[in-house]
Amino acid sequence: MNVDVTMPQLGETVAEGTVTRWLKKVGDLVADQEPLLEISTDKVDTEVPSPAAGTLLEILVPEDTTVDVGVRLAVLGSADAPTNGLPLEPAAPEGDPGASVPAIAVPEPAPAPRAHASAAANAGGGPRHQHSPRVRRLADEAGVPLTALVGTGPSGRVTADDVRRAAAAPVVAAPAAPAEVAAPGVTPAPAAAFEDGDRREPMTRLRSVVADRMMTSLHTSAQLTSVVEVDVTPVVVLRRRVAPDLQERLGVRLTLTAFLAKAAVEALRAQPILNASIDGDGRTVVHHAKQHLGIAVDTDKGLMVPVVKDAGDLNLLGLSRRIGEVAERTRSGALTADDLSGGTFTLTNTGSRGALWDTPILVPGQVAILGTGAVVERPVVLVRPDGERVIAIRSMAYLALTYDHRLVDGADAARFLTTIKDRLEAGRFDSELA
Amino acid sequence: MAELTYRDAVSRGIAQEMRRDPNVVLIGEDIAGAGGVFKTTVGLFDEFGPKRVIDTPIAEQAILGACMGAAMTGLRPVAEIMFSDFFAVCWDIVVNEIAKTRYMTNGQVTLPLVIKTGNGGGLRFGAQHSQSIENWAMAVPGLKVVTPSTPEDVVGLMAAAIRSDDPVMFFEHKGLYASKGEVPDGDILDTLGTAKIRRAGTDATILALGMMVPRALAAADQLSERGISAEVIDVRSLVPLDTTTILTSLSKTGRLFTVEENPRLLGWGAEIASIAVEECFWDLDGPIQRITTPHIPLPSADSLEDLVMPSADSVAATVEKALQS
Repeated sequence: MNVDVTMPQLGETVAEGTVTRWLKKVGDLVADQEPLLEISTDKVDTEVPSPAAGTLLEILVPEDTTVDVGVRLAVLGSADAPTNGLPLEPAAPEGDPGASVPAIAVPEPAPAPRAHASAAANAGGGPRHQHSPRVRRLADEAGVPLTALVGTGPSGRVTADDVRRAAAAPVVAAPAAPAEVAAPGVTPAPAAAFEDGDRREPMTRLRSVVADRMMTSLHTSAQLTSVVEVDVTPVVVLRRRVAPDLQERLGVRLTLTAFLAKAAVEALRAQPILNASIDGDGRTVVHHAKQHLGIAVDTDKGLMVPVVKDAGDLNLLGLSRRIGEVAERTRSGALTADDLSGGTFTLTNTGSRGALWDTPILVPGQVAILGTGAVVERPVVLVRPDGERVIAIRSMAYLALTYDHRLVDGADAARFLTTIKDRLEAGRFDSELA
Repeated sequence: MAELTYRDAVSRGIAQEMRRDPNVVLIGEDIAGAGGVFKTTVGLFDEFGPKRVIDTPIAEQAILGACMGAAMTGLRPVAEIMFSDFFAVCWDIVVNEIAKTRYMTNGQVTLPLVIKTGNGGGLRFGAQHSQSIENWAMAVPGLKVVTPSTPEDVVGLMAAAIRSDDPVMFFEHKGLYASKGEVPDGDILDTLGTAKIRRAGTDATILALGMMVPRALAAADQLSERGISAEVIDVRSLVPLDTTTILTSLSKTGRLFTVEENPRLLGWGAEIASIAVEECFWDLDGPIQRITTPHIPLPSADSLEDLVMPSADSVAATVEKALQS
C-alpha cells in the first residue's frame, strides 16, 4: 500500500502552503511521524511529519512551490509493501553534498488530457478511479485542476459538488489574484526607474500575504476612521502602583495594552455591532457571540496579528497574561496557524514607536480595528469639583477606530469610543486586580 | 376519469380501437366467451361478435400464422399468446416471418398486427409460466416492443400499437393485472417509443419496466427518507427506445441503475448501459449498476421467487450502497 503525503490543513482559514524544504530524498527510509518536509503557510512555518513508515518513493511538489491544501506532495511506499512496478527514483549519488536536492517529479500544471489522466493516475500508484468521468469533465470545463481538490465524497473521492465549489470559490492567492485586486479604473503608478545600485527581490512570503490582505481589505470594505482623545492618567497611575507587585507575586506583566484590551472587549459587549463580520455576499451579517481579540505584534519579520481567543471571558490579569503569551510566541516564531485566525476585532498599538495616531486598516473579515496612539503628557484643561477650571499635566492618548461603514455608522463608532474613553478615564479596575 | 384495473384497461384499449376501426380483430385462446384466462378481453365478444373476436385451439403457431395472414390481407389483428413463455413454440413465425416481411418485400407488404401476451413472474406460476421475455423480442430486428406499467398507459399504448403499421409485441405484466389506476375518459392514444419520468430526482436515475416500475418507485420513497433523490423512469418501450429521456436524466444525475425482472444475461438494461457508456461517458459519476433476477429459471417456491426478483428493498439498498461507496 502506498501512502500519499498531502499538504496539511494547518488552520481553518489556511488555503495553501509552500514547500520550503524536503528533509528526505527519494529512496530514503522514513519512520512514522518523522519530519519529512518543511512548509510555510500564511504566516507559519512548520514541519510535516511522515504519515507512515516507509520509503519515500516520489516527490511530487518541488521546493519553493505553493500548492493548495490537500494536494499530494509525495508518495510513500509502506515498509512492508513490495515496491515492484513502481517508479522508484534512484537515490542521489552517495557522498555528494550537493545531492541533497531530491529527485523531483514535476507535478502536472494543468488538467491532463482525459485519456492521459487515467493512465497517469494509475502509474502514480494512487487509488484507481479516483475521479469519475463526470468529475473529470466538470473539472476540465471549469479549469479546476483535479489535483488541487480535496474530495468530500466516499473514500475521499472528489465529487461533482467539490468541483463546482472550487470553480465558484474566489481565487485564493492564485497568480490571477493581484489582477483581481487592482481596482477598476486604477492604473498602478509607474515605478521609479531602476538605477545602478538598486536591488530587486521578491517579497518574502509574509510580506506578500500582508500586501494581499491590505489590498483586499481596502478594496472590499468601506473604511472610515474616528478618533477620540483619552486621559489615561488614572490608568497610568494605577499601573505604576500595582504593576511591580503583580510582576513579583504572579509573574504577570501588566501593560497599558491590557487596560485598553479590557476596555475594548467590554465596549464590544455594549456595542456588539462592532464584533461582527459581513459575509462574502455583502448582504449577510454574522454577529459573533464571542470576542476573539486580535493583537497586532511587531516582529523582526513583519507585522503579525495573533488572536487571543475568548478575550471577553478574561479579566484584566487574564488578558495581560494571554497577551503576553501570544506576543512572546509571535516573536519566537512558535505560533500555529490557528493562533492567527478567528479574530473578531483587532487592537493595534500605533504608539509603540511614538506615533500619535493613524488610520489602521481593517483585518479582512472584521468590521473594526482600534489603534492606540502614544501616551504623551500634555497640559489639559480640567474642571475641578468646585467648578473651577485649571490646567494640569495629564497622560493623554488618541484612540483611532477604523470601521466598516457598510455596517457601522459614525454614531455607533463614537458611542464605542466614548464607552472606552469613559472606562479608562474612570480608572476603576480594582475589582479586576483583586 | 375513472379508476380502472390494468386488466380492464387492456380490454378497454382494444375495444376503443375495435369501435374506431372495423378492421381490428382479436384472436387467441379462450379470449371470446371466457373473456381471456386473465380476463383481459371481457366484454369484447359480446360487443363485437364471433367474426371479430375469435377463439382458437391451443396452437400458438396457428394463432400467429392466422394473424400474419390477416394482417397481410388488410386486417389489423390483435393476437393473444396467453403466457409469454409460449413464444418459445412460435418464434419461427414471429422471428423469421412477421419480423422480416416488410424488409423482404421491400416495403410492399407491411404487417399491422399486435401480439399481446401475459408476461413476468411473482405469481407462483413456476419456471415455465413466469418468464420475462421482453429481451428475447428486443433482440429481433423488425419488432416493436412495449411494456406498460399503468392502466392509462395500457389503453394509450394498446391504441398506438394497433395503429402501428408494423408488428408490435405488447407485454402485459401478469403481476399488474389487478393493479388500479385513474384513466381519463374518452379515447386515449399514446406514442410508441416514449419513456415516462414517473418521479423526478437529482441523485440517481433508476430505469424500470413493467412490474419493476412500482417497485422502483417504492425504492425511491425509501431512498428519499435516506436523503437520496432518485429519478424513476418507466422505460415503457424497448423498441423504439427513448434514449433522449433516459440519457438526459443520466446527464443530470450522473448515476444510472436498471431494475430488470429478466434473468441477468443480456437483459435490456445491459443494452441501455452500453448506450449510456458510449454516449454519456463523461456524465457518469460512478459505475452503472443493473439490478436483475439472477441468471436462473424462476423458482416455484413463494419465498424463493420473492428472494430472487428485484424488490423495493433490494433496489433501495443497491442504489444507496452504490452512492455511498
